[in-house]
Amino acid sequence: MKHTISLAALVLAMSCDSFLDQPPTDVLTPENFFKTSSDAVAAVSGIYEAQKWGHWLGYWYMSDIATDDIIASSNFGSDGHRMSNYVFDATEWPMGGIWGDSYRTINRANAVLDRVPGITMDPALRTRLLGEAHFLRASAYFELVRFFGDVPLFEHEVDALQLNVARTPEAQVYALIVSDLQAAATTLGASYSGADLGRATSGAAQALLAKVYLTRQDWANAAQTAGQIIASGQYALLPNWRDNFKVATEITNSESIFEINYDATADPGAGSVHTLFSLPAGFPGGDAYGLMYVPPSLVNIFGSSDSRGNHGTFMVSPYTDLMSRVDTFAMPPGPAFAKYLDETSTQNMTARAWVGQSNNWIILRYADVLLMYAEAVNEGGAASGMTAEQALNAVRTRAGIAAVSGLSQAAFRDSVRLERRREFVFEGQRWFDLSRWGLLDAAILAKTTELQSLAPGETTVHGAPGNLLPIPQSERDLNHNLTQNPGW
Amino acid sequence: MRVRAWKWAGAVMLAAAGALQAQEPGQGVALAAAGPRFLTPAEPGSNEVGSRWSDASNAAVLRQQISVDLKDVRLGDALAEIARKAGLRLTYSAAVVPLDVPVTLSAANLTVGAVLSAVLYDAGVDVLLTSRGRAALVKRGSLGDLQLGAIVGRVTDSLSGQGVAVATVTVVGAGLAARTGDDGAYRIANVPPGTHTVRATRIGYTSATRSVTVVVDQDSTVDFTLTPQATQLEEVVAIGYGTTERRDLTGAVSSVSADQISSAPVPSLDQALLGTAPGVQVVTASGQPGAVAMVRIRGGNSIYARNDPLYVIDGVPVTTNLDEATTGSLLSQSVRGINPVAAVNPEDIESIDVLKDASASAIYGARGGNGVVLITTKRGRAGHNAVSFGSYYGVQEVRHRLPVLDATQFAQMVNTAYANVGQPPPYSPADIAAFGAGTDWQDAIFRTAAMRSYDMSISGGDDRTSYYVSGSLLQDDGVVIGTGMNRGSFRLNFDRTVSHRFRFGNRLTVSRSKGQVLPNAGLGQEVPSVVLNAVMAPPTLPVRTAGGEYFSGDDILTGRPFPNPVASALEITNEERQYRTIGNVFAEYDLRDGLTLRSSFGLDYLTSLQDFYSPSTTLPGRNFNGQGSRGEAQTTSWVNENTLHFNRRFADRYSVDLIGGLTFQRTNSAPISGTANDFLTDRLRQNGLSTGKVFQSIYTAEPRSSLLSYFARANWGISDKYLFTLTGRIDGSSKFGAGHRYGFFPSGALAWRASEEDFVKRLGVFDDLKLRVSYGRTGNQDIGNYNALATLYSTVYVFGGARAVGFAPGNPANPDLKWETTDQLDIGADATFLKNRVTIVTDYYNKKTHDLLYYTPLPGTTGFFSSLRNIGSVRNRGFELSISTVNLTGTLGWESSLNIGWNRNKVLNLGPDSLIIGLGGVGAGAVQDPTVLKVGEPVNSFYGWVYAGMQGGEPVYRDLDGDGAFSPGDRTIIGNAQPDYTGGLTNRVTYHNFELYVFLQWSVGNKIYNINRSRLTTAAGNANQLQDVVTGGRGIRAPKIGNSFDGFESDLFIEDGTYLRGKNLRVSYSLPATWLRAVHFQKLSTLQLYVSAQNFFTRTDYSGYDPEISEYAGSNLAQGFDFGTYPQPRQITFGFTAGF
Repeated sequence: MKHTISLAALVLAMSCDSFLDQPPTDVLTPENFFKTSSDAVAAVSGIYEAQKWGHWLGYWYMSDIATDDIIASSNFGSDGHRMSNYVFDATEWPMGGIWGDSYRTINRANAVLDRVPGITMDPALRTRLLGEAHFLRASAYFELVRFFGDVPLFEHEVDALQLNVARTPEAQVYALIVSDLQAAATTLGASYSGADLGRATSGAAQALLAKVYLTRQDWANAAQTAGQIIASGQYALLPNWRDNFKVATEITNSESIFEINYDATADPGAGSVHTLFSLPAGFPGGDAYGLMYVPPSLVNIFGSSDSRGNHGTFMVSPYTDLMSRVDTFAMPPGPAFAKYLDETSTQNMTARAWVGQSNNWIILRYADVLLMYAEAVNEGGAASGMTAEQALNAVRTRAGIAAVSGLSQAAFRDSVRLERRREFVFEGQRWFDLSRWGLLDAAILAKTTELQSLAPGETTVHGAPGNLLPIPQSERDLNHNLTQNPGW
Repeated sequence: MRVRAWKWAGAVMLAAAGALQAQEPGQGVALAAAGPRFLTPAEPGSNEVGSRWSDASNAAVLRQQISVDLKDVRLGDALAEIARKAGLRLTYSAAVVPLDVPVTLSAANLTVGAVLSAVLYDAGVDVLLTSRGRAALVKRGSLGDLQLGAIVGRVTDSLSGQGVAVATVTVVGAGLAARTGDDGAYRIANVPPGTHTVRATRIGYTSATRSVTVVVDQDSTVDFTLTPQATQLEEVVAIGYGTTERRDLTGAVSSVSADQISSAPVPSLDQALLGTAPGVQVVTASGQPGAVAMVRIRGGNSIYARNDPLYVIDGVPVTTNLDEATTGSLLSQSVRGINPVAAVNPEDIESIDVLKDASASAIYGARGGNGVVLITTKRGRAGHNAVSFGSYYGVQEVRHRLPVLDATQFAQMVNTAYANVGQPPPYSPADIAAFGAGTDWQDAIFRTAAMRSYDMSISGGDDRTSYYVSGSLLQDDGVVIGTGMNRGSFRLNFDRTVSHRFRFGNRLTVSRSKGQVLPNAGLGQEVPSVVLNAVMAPPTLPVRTAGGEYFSGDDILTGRPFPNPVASALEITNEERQYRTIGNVFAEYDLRDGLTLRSSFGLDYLTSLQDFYSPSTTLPGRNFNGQGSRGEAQTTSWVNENTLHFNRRFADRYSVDLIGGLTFQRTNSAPISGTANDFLTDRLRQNGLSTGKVFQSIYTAEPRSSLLSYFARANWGISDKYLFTLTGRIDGSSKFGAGHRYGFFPSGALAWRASEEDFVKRLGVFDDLKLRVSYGRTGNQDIGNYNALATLYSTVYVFGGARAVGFAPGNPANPDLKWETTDQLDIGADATFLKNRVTIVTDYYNKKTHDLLYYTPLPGTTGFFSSLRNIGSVRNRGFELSISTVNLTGTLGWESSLNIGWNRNKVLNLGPDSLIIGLGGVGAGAVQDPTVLKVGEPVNSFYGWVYAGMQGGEPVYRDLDGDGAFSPGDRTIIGNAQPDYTGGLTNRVTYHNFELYVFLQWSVGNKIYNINRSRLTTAAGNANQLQDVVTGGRGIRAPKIGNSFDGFESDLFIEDGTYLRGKNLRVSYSLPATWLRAVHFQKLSTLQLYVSAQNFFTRTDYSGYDPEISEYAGSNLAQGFDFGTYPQPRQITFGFTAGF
């Protein structure tokens, strides 16, 4: 008996290691991924997802709230006030968020670029997928380099233990961005349909490339690239400016070039939140946080005929909506923000809820291309097809304001800059524009001065040191080779 | 005080029933009339004058021990077998002895005399021993006038002098016994003349032995004085894979008896640990019926891994990890459903033993690091068939209400707030005049709630089989409307002896629990959080509209739909059902005497079903036109354990107890949940998810893990004086990285029973004194299933309106991932003195946990957020003291038991970090997250600004970093949730049939971060506030109404959580048996009536509902938070228990 037992124990013991092998059945591991074309598609979808979170919240704290376009109201939490009043430091979370989400985008794109070429699959699909990865990687680096300047550069997948990397000079980063976008522009489709709608197009790559050139003040290439897009006839301004923000025609409208797609129905729990944050508190129909208001100085740049002004970018109390609901709100001391309210969307009007909105985040639209073209040509780039004035006036007349003519180069420059501000409030453009124009410090100073008169209690300590944001402190704590930007 | 498990030498089960059974007092003393007498011819000149025969039951031949295993054999064969084993030449005649009568007897190591008594019971014969070792069976009476005497006397308590009832007095070797009556008197008749040894025993007393000479036709008087035994040294203690007597214990083990467990109506057994064992901290999460409790044995070790002890119920390790057992479908901050430990009916529990030091818990190796709670359920006793029935009814209510503003005060506060920011007041004087007191929302959600319990058990057995069957029903209506819990449970414990070498049995409980869980989704203007919303709801709003529907229109102050707390509580389904089966089957085989092979197969099967539905009329469903979900998780854990146990005493000095084993355990879980929105009708609720227009999510997973272990333990005793224990366990776990598949967890302990030394005995101080020291290593393998592996996680993006599921790297590989390691030193002493009236157990411990799992943040440039690594280290050290005393004995009896535990916790190392802020994940809408981990400070410290008073109606904070501004650098440690010490004091007073039981319990020095208060003092003019906001309360001198001061984490909201609580007061009365008979309740053997009160008083400075609180009970890093927490009720209970 005893021997039998011992023997049994021995047999059991011998099979023990296999007893402990419990390969997961409910999660994938890298060993069994990147094998098929559907894996390649899924890996590219993963890159878009990183971009989705990257533009969900923290991004526009930096690109818009931290500008002279928006003032945080008393409803906003302390983080919003610090960003709005430019009293934040390197520990503020949106910087860390953008940094992490951008590098997640880059790493996922790098994994695709490293591994998808080895998959046996339809070459056309592979080419397109690699083009998308190039576009998304370039787009992430472009945001990083504009916000932070020199940043670590990775062209291939990184080891999780690769902790201490140094910053790469921004010129090298831009070189990769340009080559990525050039590759994307030649490999991506001009448009998509059905279940591919919303993927990066060749036009998106070109438009982004134009913006890269514009940012580098490479006026010749900027004018040429923007001119090519205009000449392609692929895009047209919508007759009605507000229709850009109609949920039903997002992506498919003629003006849209590239958007980050938020869809609260198909992707519940990850709907957009910028609508809720910006609508006046108590606006009928669900969540409306009223975290911000429009400063009088911004209100004043819209003429009375400008469709982008009252009932466009902002609203004043009492407001009667298309459902004849009258909303009275108190949002001292400026008008409430209204731009993203789509009064034709049931979801926008009656079922607003946290992460329950489908409003997209627009990265590029045709009006931007026209204004980039106007700016580049005015600064010395060669015109092709239309004049800078025509491009600018197309945007102006669509908005219902008078065309300009015969302006000096300096006056035209001011006019384009003013137009960009009117056109793109809270569309992720203002901070970058101010930064590349070298006007950030002045704009923040003006804003804090205005703010002190509007809300005397607010703390506004310092302006913008230079035209860069601080490298996130959390990153510098973990990576001792990361230097900080001057002034932070 | 705990009853010693009754052990005969060897397993004795006598078929010829009654031979050794004691007589019931008052029913005659004819016990041995039917049994054989053992006689020998009287020797001439002996002092047994006047008799030809003398008693021979003490003869050497009859005292030798034999083992027999007879089943339904002829008496003749049985006698032959006994004679052969005893070396006894036995002669008898078939005419005298009924040789064909079948007998059954299985006995190990029983005396020949007892065996013969058993088989010859009722045979009408006597055994005549001759001087030459022969024995003859002769017909009773054939020896002529056999004359007998009797022994009478009284058993008294040495301290009180009072009689001791129900003591057993036995005539050693003669098979004669009697029990004492109420006055301690006894009488044993038919005692053969001669010199006898008489022994008196009584549970709770040391036994006494006297010698007496019985003379024919005379009553020989033998009085006994028994010394009460306060000490627990006789107690049998479960130690994991076996038991030991407390006197032989080398480790630190605290025990809770069935008495203590059943003294208060607790729905869950972990609550029974509260205040009963030093070093065991229990904080019930909330007053939610069936709520989980936070249990920490000697402080928390881990940061990321779980800190809960391992629960082992009858040898089956049970899952308490809600991560795998729930699907997260419920709407609650942190209490994800009801407590899985609540599946066990507390009435079924015989004892709970808490293994605290490394010597005790190392037998559980990689799971022993947080201590081990061993739960032993009741089993039947041979020959003691009993039916017990009990029931109670309790009434509960919350202790007090928060003093918030009434409608008039509220409207004035709001107007002031608006005025202060230059806005027109929303309420006109006429409005205010019309409001009056308005709605008392706390009144609207709190109620007086009932708690009912019924339990019944039937237990008993015969010589070979014992059983314990029970069933129970519990219904606990929560004090918040719409909440409650009920449980039905069933148990069958069965033991069978097949032969004197082979035994098998099972332990099984099946239960169903159902809980309606308080919706508490944190704080947001449209979030259903019943308690929080009730205190913050404008009293100007009605519960219902004039039309009778719940008011859920817009709150004019927020401009948004009002989250009506009454509607949230009653209209939202937030319900969990748990079906749990815990049990095992086991078999034991004695390979030879003292060497036993045991194999068991255990199962813990838990199905948890979680339903949520919020109708289209109530938030949050209102935003989705109805929202519902159902989640189910089936968790199966099976364990196979095989042990070889050797136990022997050598040369009367050395005792050896060895055990070795091999166990396999596998845990699988299969959760599934689905959520849908937008329903045509609310009537189908969560049962009609397929009718939703929007399928929001479906979730499935299958986490799995395996554990393979080898273990051994050696106990070695020398002269009962020096005791050594060596324990080791090797655990292999599928959770560990490839490089660390197996961990080794050794421990050693040494105990010295100094009281056995002559020089200590000469002191005459100690009745018992034992000094213990142990050192060892245990682990914590509860580190998640696949954390060592590189895994991908799934992503969602939408192209063209369709979900595009993607995959992206989620977790970087860590092949070095392994268990957390705890090294612990324990030095303890157990002392009993003052004639066993005082017992002191004290322990000092120092444990350091290293290789702590910690999510090390990775630079964002890696593309990952963090990596789980073994880097941190935490120390817990402390001191424990328990004192048990017998203050009075006799008619007025009084026993006390005090225990106190001091624990000091300190974070020693966090790898690359020294300060991590806001890790606790304090819930939605809290605005504040003052949790922190800081090297050199305790876990569960709070971090924030130091309040420095009001300036211009707004709080200002101390400028600690001297930068002249309010800045993050001004934050510091502002308190911590860990108590300086906790304790409990039990007093039990008995007087005749009355018993009074008083249990006080306290926690001193712990801080509570009162988020409720922070939200109730913002004075923003959009929600109801504490009256302090208007009148200037603690810390808030003159708030500027309308300032909405953003709720910075500060010591403004830290309160002292110290409390002293009357946890339980119970008065019971046992009806005398004479009364029961007088009213013709002969069947009823006992009837006890009681009334008890729980939380009957509370002394605390804490301003919230209740200081016994821990909203995030499941979290290691966020203890001591009050945030919309369901308050603990106080309760009064009436009940009875009856035995048949």
